[in-house]
Amino acid sequence: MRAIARPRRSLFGDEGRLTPYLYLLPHAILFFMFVIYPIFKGFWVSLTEWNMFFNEGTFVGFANYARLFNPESIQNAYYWQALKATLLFVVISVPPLVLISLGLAVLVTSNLPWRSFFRTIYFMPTALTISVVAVMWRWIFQGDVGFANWVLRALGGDAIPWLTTQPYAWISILIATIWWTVGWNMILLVSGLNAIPHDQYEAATIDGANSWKSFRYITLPNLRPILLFIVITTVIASFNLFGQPQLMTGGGPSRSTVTVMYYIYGEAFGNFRMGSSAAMSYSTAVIMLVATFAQAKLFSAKDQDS
Amino acid sequence: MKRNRYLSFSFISALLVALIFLFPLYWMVATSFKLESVTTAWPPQVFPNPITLDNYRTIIGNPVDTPVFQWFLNSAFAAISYTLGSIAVSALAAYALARLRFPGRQFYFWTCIASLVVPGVIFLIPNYITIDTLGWVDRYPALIVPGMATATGMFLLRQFFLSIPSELEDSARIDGAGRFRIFWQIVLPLSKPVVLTYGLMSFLNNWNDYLWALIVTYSSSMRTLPVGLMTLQGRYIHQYGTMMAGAVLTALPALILFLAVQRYFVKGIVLTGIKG
Repeated sequence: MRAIARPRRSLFGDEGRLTPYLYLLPHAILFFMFVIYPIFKGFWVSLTEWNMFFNEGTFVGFANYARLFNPESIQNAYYWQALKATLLFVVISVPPLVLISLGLAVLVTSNLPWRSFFRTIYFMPTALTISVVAVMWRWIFQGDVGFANWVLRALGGDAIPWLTTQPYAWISILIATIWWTVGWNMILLVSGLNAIPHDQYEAATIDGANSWKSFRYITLPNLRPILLFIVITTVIASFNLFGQPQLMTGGGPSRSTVTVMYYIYGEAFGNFRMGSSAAMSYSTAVIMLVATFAQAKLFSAKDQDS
Repeated sequence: MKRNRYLSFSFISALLVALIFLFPLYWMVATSFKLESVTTAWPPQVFPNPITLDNYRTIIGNPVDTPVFQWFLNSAFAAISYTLGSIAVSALAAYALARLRFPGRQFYFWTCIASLVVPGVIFLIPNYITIDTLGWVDRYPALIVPGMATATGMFLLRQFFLSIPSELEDSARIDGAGRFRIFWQIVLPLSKPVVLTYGLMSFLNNWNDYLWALIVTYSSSMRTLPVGLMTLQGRYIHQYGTMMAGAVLTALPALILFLAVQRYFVKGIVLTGIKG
């Protein structure tokens, strides 16, 4: 109405042409500074020899990337070792993190007494910060007087130097990680399970399906989209593994638990080679993006099969 | 009969898993109340005897090396400022994107959504350099400002605003209320559930953040609780009682908040599924 009364909209005021941008401005400024700009800035840094003292870089082209493929360089040895360690952790952690959370989700959505209490307990560790989780598990896995070794000895076994030998260092990190994050996936699956229409199960029961068949032919297909989401986010989370090795094993024994994130962090803030570290970040980001799209493709290809 | 047996089997498994989940927390708390001389006793004491507050005294009573109270204040100040700022910034943008018509609206929305694909690892170094350039290293803004404008916050709030019937706003406008007043007095109060959900997620994300806070702070008095606990690990590495007292103090606020408003936290995860 007012627009008709006034031939030209003013710039500000309720209907002003610039007013919407004022609402957007705080978000836009911060989003540009800390989300959009760093995507390009980081790439620029990866093409330089960055001087942290003067906060400026000397352009070196792709030298930082080339070093990752030069067998003479220390970055070559350490980066690929870290990448292998990270992939190993992804492989050993994603199946339990998905399967255990699925089991727990089914458990707390059945008509179990105390089920909301159990749900709270399984979910609670996700509210903790990594340093608490690491300090706590480090104490349990402590080599001489830790609780894990007490149990082992009480059962008649030998003590294990959990955090300082392989494969136990990985097992310790894995157990701490499952304990810490499995509740997260569980909650997502619980919401997925609750969304499945109940009459589907009733119809299946009338047709004589047992509980395994209901699970296999009703629950799993219905959970498919949410499972895809969980697999992808869990792979990303495991790929980003940092605090557990940094605080529990210190990357040891002999660098075997130095993950990509840990190495990138150390290269930038321990060795002060920002350029090299940025190049590793970008290489890793590309690997993660490819892995994410590959999983999405894989899942949708399977969809067409069935 | 068969059904009952199945139920009791599930119940016992659920109970066992619950005990396994609770045990590490119990062990941390129990150790924190043991005398340092008995924390390493063999076999371990299952219940602390005698119960002592010595470890808490050690950690609180050393404000120079381990200013736990200062870390708590830093964490609280950063997390509260971050949460309020993030809600404000996201809500204003979400309102514009949901209700106002202007060129570039779709473009901005989809740019934010597309940015979610970018792996977080690449932000570490350039954002550190930005913070350094601004002179914010080891200062509060470094802990508060960088993650404030999120795509998730904007998205969550926008979706909710779109679900509010616009008739409500129209009638307020007929009564002469201005845009901002409508936003502040009608839209925001109506969005309380989603604002609380997003606020809680933001608070816990910031409170529990470790890597970023580790990078942008270095002086002992600027550390947050999660990072401070790491420096305790350097100092009290073989004093398990003291370490555990520090861990309990770090964990307690987050756990209390979690238990108090778990409902919103669950909703937040279901809505976004994104972990900080």
